[in-house]
Amino acid sequence: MRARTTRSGPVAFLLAGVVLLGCAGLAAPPVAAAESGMASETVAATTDATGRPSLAQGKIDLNSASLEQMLALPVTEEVARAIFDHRTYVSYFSDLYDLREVPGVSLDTITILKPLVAVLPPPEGDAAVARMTASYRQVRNYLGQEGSNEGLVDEYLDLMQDPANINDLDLFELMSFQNVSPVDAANIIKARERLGGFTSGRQLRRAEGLRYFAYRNLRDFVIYDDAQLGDDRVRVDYQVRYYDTPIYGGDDDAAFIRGINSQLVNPAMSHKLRADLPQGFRAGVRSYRGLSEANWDETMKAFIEVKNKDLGALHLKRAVVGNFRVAFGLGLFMDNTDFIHFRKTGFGWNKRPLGVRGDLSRTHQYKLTGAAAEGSLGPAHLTLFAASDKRSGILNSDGTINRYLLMNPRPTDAAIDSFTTQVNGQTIYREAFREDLLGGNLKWMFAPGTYLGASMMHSNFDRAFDAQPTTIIDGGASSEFWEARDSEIAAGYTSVFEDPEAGTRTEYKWRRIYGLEGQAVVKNVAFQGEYGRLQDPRSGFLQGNAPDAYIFNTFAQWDNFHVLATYRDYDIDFDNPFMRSFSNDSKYEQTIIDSSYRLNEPLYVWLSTDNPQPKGERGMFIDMRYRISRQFIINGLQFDQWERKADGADLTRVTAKLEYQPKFNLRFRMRHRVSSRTEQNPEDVRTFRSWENRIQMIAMLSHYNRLQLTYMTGNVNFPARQRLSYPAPPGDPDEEDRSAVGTAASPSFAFEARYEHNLTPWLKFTVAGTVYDGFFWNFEGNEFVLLDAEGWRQWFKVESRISERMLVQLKVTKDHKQPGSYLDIRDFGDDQPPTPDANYIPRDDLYVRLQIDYSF
Amino acid sequence: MTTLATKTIRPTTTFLVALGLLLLGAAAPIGAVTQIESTYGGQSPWFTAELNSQSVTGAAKYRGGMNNILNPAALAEAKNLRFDLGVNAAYHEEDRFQPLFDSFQSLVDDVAIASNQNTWWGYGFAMAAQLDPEPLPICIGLSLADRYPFAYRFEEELRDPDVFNDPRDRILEERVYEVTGTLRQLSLGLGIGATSWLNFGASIHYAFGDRTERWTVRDNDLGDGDQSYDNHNSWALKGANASFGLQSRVHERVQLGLAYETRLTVDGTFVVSTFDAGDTAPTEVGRLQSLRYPDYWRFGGTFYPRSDPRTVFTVDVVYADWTKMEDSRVGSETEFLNEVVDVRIGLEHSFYNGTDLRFGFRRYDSYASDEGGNSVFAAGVGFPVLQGQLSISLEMNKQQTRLEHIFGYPEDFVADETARVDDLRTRLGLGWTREF
Repeated sequence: MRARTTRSGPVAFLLAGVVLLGCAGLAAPPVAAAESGMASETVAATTDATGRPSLAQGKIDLNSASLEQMLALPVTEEVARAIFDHRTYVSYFSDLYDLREVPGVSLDTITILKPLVAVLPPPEGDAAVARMTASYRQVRNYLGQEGSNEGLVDEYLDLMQDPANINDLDLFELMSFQNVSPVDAANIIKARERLGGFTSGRQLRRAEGLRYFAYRNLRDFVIYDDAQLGDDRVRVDYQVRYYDTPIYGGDDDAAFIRGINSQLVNPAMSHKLRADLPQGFRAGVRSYRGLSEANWDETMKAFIEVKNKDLGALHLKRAVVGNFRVAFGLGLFMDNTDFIHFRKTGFGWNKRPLGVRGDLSRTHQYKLTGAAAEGSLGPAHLTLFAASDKRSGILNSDGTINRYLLMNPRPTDAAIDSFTTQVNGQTIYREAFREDLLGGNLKWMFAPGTYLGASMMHSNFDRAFDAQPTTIIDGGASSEFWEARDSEIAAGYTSVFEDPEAGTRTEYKWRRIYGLEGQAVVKNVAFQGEYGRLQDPRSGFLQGNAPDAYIFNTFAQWDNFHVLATYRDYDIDFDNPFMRSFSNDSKYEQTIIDSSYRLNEPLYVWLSTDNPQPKGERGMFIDMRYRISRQFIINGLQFDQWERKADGADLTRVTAKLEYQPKFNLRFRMRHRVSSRTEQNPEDVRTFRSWENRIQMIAMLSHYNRLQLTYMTGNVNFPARQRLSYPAPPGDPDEEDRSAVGTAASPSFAFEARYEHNLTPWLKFTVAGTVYDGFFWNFEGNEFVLLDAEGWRQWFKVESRISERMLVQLKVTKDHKQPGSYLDIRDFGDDQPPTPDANYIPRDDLYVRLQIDYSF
Repeated sequence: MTTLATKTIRPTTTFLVALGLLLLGAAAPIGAVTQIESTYGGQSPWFTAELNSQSVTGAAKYRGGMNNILNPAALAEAKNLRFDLGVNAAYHEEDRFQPLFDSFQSLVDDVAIASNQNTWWGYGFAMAAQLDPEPLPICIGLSLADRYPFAYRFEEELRDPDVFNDPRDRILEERVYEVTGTLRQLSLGLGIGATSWLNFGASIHYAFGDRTERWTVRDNDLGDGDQSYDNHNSWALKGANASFGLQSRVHERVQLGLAYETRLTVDGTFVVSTFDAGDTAPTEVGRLQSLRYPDYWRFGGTFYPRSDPRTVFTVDVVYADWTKMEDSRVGSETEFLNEVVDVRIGLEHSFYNGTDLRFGFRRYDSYASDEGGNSVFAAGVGFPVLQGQLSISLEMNKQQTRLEHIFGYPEDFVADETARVDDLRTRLGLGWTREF
């Protein structure tokens, strides 16, 4: 319990100070600064030989005195201890009159203490911590990042604490920063070469062709002189995360997960420890359990990494042993992450971590465990990697691999076995097969920003691949439910070949992919391209009609305007499991795999729900951003028209994002999206159209408090879904007809009010309430939420930076979906029964999320 | 500094207040536990508003007289005479679900077959004082708290599923399962400050209370004869155990604490009473039975950063091996129970005007169910009132388990022999702390 402190009003306080100052000035002869004037109380009477302030004789420094020294002052023990406690546990003193904040200290006490104490600047803190404090808001955003950005933001956080020398960063490192385009990166290198190196931020800002937007996102992570670096000491970051919030709050998700029985309620938990060691070494270890998974160490990762070592003429940029992440080009050849990020262009905020680096992300299915190295020798830039891992997958009855299967959550094999309904027994396994992977990438730099590269990746397996659709659906392609768009299921990688005439069966237990990539920067335009080819095991390199894929980008920028055009063409049988290039849909989405009840094993629906591979498609995407004026910005105008190659369906997506800032502290954001599918498929003449509008008002109040209001409406129109229909019984006059089953239109709306209040610079509350009806997506802080129901939701979050090095974030969410009523299940043609099958389905949920970050 | 040795407290007032609280504490209905906890007691009892708003962390932090239970060594930090009083109201909502399948045998949804809402209340009391600061600080603590609340209530109506019967939806049976009672713990502790950085302490606990369990079925469909019954059992329990603890200030900013609580054995006459339809009087059978609870290890840390507003961050980890629980009624150790690891985090921000903001997070396994883990969010505020501090706390807790049905159902009435049970508990607390 704290005693009340009687405090004078601020006016009286100032008057007293002025009076004191006046008296001191009139009474005393001109003396050293410490003995006259209020300001002199904040500095010592003298300075030492180095010019630093030092104490006058007999005075003690309140910011460094021991408890014994304070107890020796002519004040009560209680007051002395209170002063000591305040200095130790609240804050240093910047001024003698800060003592007024200490309980029990009055103006008289200060008068008594004034000739006996001084206030020197407190001990210098860690420069790295000071940098993090200066960019605290940005740090807080990074600490909440998940998904495919996860590994990259760890690097951003490291760079905030230990910035890199901009004169040492190569093209790919520069391009990895958010909003730094290939043109920006190339221009930085050109300016650097011209100047012989940057020596200041001003020089960087003035680099010709570097946009202010890019400079602003880069400046917090770089220095210009190695002397600006702090001491090369060990720095450790520890993060623990706990949450039981499912990302998707729809009914389907609950019903599906329920089938995994006893793992329904386990929360997600993560511990991550990263260490930045001297001499360019880094290490890390992570344990992670996903929501509803059984064991706390479902995913365990670790790595040791060394950076920037010169071995003669060879510059070793990075070498990693353990778990590593590798990505090249536009992600068509390699980007090993479990997470799909639709329309990932590699520009703006959607960056790929190019090259190799240690991996502590939540990726488990596509993780790589082995060794990787990246280095350069003159204009040649070489990356090599080797890994051996077990993968989850579906096995055919003959033991061959049907395909990879990313499970989320991952049940134990025993749980899969207990749940499986496959007639032939279990086919899904946590460790279905082993993949030994060896790969490399060689790039040749012709000019800043311009290079050409080639890649190759070879995987050996302990089984062969056979993408039999009959494993997935009864009858496979002959099933009455099979449609043209399901052809991508049959187009999976197959390395088993039978020759009926010769009576032979040949199995190839490997897969090989080749890639080409290139980039050219000409003035303010960047051209990028990537090509991939999946080798037919029966043919040699470049022989046969091997499936391939390619993607091209053209990016043009000016300071307030940029435009990106992307053309991609992916064969449906270019089955590269590590492909994460631009796409609108993931593989097997909109196929029969979406309908779990049509599958031989309902768990096969994971192939569609969590598949990070892009779908085979061909199309053109255009995106532009234009800052018309300070008040008005077109944040994005996107137009995408593409063809789904499986069945030739044409799809279109148009998005417009506008931002209007009439005043400095008021902002409006508007977003409009329309997606549609036209009637081009003669086998399935159906249209589909959906649109969504989102309007947001953001008002910045005092102390960075923020009020945000969001309103969203949308609608999905689609005709009756034949696959959901049930035929009339045989002999019925309507036998040939099918019921028109399916929703014709699905409107949705949502309204959210959110308020962020900064109680102090280090303590922030956020409270929000949302009313929703239909499909709704939202970012709640750094948490991405999807809902598809009707109800209301409130959440409260506290973010407390309890010390310079420790941040605690605690969030609680209460979600109340409208209870279901009158649930009725009938067979085709049945009359509506007098009573429902269920008339009350409550859906109340409480979610808690905790994150603690500690740097030491 | 005020100690019992140097200041005259009005002993009459103190005595009367303490006596009044003891008397009240012996009589009140306490509750808000889930079904799985109703057999041996809840894992989230009430202490005080200040404590519960920080998820009951205190193995390395002075929390007044309640340190008797958390870590008696922390009592040595008492400087003044301190009283803590608290009351709480808890709202417990339970929904039971059954899966509903379609003609493809695919799961459609989990539908509710029973929903119950109940309100409970409870309170706690504690006091601590320093007897003498010299030569060693010696402090005592006295506390009364619910250690193992049992109260739970389940009520449902079994209705006629045949829509062609007249009248429709006729109530076939009315069923009530109810557990009342609590095991309270009156504790007396002693803490000694051995050095400026090391404290140790011990406390003894006297546990007393009762547990009553009742199954009541009223049969309204008398086709097979009256199947009504009213069975209950009651059990008056008492026993004692002790706690020992160490606390160390290893750094000006870090305090660590370790405490051990011995096994608690409580016993009493277990009376079983049955009353079937047609009986004229209940049949009672009594027998001496006992429960032996597991021992507890508590390890905690407190971090005092330099932070404006002043902040204290506490972490406690509590371990109890409930597989060692002994219940003489079942004749052996209850091996179907689990080990429990309970992680608690508390955060307190103190502002210059005497206002404290508190937050807490807790995650604990259920001793009775592999699935029944709990996540608890807690928050609270304390502000100066009447020379003391008034504290308000709010706790929210969600648990999901899968349990067998309490009462049987007719054939084909339900699809699954178990039900998914969702428990949502909200507890609002009010407390007052006064230091002299």
